[in-house]
Amino acid sequence: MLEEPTIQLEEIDANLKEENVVLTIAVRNPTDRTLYAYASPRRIEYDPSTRKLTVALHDQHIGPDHPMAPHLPHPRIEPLEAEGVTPVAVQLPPVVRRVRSAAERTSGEPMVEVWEITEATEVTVEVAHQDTPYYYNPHVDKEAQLKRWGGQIARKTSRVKIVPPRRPPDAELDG
Amino acid sequence: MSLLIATTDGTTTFSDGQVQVDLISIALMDTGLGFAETTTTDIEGVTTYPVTYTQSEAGVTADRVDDLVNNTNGVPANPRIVIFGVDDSFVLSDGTPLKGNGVAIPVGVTGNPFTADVATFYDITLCGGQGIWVDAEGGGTTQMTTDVLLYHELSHCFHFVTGTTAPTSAEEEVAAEIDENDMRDVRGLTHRDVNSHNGGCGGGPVNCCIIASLATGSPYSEEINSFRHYREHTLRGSIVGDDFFERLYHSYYAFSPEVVRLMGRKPVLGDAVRSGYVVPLLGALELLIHYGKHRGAGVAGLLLDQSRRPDCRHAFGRTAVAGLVTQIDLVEAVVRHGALENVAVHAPSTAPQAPVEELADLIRSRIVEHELLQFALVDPLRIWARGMLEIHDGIRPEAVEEHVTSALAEWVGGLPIGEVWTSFSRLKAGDELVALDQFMFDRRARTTFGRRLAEQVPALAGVCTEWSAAEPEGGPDA
Repeated sequence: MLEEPTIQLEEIDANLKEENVVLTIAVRNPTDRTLYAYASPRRIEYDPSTRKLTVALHDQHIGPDHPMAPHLPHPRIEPLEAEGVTPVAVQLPPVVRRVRSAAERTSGEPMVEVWEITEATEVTVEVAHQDTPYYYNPHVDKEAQLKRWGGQIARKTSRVKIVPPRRPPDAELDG
Repeated sequence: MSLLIATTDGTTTFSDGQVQVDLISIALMDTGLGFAETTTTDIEGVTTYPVTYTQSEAGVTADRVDDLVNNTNGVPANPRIVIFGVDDSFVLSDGTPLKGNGVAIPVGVTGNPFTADVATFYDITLCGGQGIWVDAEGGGTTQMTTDVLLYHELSHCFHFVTGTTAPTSAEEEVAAEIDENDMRDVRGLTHRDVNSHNGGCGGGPVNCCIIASLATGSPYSEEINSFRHYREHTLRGSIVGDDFFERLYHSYYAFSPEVVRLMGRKPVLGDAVRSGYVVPLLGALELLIHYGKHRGAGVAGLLLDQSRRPDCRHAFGRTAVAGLVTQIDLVEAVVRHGALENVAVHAPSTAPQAPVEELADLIRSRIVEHELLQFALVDPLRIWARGMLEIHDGIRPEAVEEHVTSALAEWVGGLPIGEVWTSFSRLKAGDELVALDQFMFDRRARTTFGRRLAEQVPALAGVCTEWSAAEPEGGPDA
């Protein structure tokens, strides 16, 4: 298993495609073998006051007592070409609805906090990676094995402006 | 009435209509099920209405609804259970997405929006329309439906409110999956494997066994599913087994992506790899599983059966197998004598030579250097191919049986010994050795492996001697 973060996140591009926010992360694998990375968002955090969006492609925040721990979904794993740059696309809803816990709602806020993440101006992405794909083992607690597999994490923060994809001018469409 | 459906928190609306549809399904379309939509109750800022039920349909799932609604069978009036039907844009308070999932949160647990009631959320979009798969009983995958997903979460809720939650989250999950299978019976869906909690968005896990998947046409083919199930549930059931596969993957994935790329660039290689390697290897894996399950009995019969399979004739026929034996002998010569220049890959005569040679270079440079790859991917193929050749040559089945079981006993006794053994106490090492009994039941294998392990980890010499001399646990499957 990898003993330290090995990949480099070179660029983060954010766009609106078919009503979803798509983060495209250019991931450099400097090693001479294919590596593998989470390509599923596992934690989304957004601060509307600073417009900072953080997307974790790992499960390090899940403890054994987390209500989701026993049935964390199998992550999508993307192979990263050896000695090359692979684009990893992550799709997010344009509006994220966070369920506030009871402890946060002492002054009567609505249960759901609505985040318009298309307004984000800064994105931090954290990507777990390993030198083999993830294979589920039914004999080991799911969160423990996912955290072990994804123990090495690369991070990158970028300024972004989330814009819809450019449409070609009408003349090009006609031609 | 302690089962309620959430409609809104004042700013966000929830999909109560789909919750109603799913509850009607769970209650077996019982017309006694009702929804008192005008009798709303505000629970900490969330508008809810109660479910009502006068049961007339008999069935386990309808009984569960009756218990939850009418507070029977130990279900108290409080805490109440509030159901939220949500789409794939929701996340829990810590940012964990609910997409493709459901969750039930007991009172007092971080993330519960209520101070005194149980909340359950489930993704009514089934992962934004992609669908949700879970591992199926007996191997393969089965799909999730919204009513089955809700019933699963209501099982957790039932346990929470009745104080019957299992001691560990894994055991609680098993209990909910056992209940879930009752709802699967109602829907006529394949049972879920309650000993495997894997699942996710889409049709199934796609990041595994890629060469075999390409060669057999699908990652979900019956043969791939069967081997995956055996690997996950039997072979990886011990620390040594899990460690073995982790190290094997490390070696295997050092070269397999290049094979896949080659196969993608040179489609002719797909046929060569399939008939020249993957299909025979699947035959060899079937032989190994049979050997372990039946304590070596009937291996000649299995080979005879394989030799007659019409769909494998191209790979299991005498000419193909004889060619394979020659190639493996050459690989062995490389391992023993370093004669690299002699290695080639068996391929159909119509295949252009260049890509085959490129593949041969790759295999030559990678497989033969790795003890684990040699042990797991070359040696079983050699044993299988030699046995198959004897079958084709009309050798008596009794003799084939003896040759093959002897070779397998020698092979399994040569299981590579990882560093993990040095971390074991004698007690733990004893448990791990017993776990090997499923394949090391033959006296020759036990003697060989026990001696090798004692040499490499002298602290375990005593336990190795005891294990080698003991009778193996268990017996052949019926």
